[in-house]
Amino acid sequence: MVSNNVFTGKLVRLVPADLETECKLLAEWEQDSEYQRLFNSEQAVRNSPKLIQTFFEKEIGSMHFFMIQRLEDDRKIGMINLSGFNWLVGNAWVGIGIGERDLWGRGYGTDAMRIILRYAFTELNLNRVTLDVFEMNQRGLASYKKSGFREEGRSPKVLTIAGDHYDLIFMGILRSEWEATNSQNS
Amino acid sequence: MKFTTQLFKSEHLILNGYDPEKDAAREAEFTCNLDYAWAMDVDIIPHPLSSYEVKKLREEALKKSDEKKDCYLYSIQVKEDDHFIGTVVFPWISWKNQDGFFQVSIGEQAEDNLYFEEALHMALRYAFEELGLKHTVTRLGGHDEFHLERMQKAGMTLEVRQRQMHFRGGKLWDRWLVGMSRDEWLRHQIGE
Repeated sequence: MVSNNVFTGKLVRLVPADLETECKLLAEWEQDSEYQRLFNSEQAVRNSPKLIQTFFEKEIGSMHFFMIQRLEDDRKIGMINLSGFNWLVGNAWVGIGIGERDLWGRGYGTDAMRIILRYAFTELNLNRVTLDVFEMNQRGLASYKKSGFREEGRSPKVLTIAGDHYDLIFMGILRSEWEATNSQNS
Repeated sequence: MKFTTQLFKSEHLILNGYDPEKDAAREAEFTCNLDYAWAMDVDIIPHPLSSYEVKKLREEALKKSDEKKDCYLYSIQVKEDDHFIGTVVFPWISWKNQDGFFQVSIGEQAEDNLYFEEALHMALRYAFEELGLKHTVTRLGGHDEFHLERMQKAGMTLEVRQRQMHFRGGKLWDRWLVGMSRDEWLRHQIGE
């Protein structure tokens, strides 16, 4: 049976972004440099909401971008997107960030990832989903493993953050792996 | 590493500034080799390109190089008669992390057999001895044992195997990321 409830999970739902409102939120989250350093390998910077909006107005057509909304109170707590689509091999890259740091480690990111993988494999007909994660982001790494991603290798000590060097870890999940896990769970 | 080392000349090759007016037409012919076409851009589905498309693509790269100084594009020429055989491209460099992506591409199989190792050495030397990178990486389709062997011989390591991320000859292959650190480069130079 085909579900009309593709974007709702156990803790969160994924909703399209209202750029005008949400870019203010994205700019607020950028105040937290630790948040930026967890998913941006380049310099942490502060951008105005207007600049973020201009970026998304230009780029949003090439990605599937969602805000992560908590079910219990409809609060927008993070973002998740698929981008870099390669339809020849059925691949896309996923990026995720929970902007509200008081909600880190509570399963919201894992639930959002579960939703976007279901969307990727059952609606977009992708064959694999790819991500990279920084070695010091142990919470993210654990969450991605829990979601079914496997490590596919790493570029050793290529990231320089606060004077220390960390591996860039590449991970991927194939549809066959997702289906096997999903059929076990159901 | 010595400052007197010639970066743009080797025994048989010259790295020259890419000239879209001269080089694009020949490079367009190379794109019938789909491995060559794949190496030209990360995002496109590899297909033969017209000389107009190659010229436009390369002009954009040169403009980006001039404005942002985070990418470089060189033509590879054979010293003997200056003819163009391929490119060395650094499409992005992260100055913060001293990390960069590069691609060495030679269009004709016979010339690839003859000159790939020499061109690869020039690209790695430029990355480590001139750009000051501490790591560099390139990518290969998982069918391409020929180039992997040569890269490993040059001291590079197969760092990442992205499963089923490359399509060629009717089947899915892994996509390989093959990298090298500056320390490995220096060790390899001493060992030679």
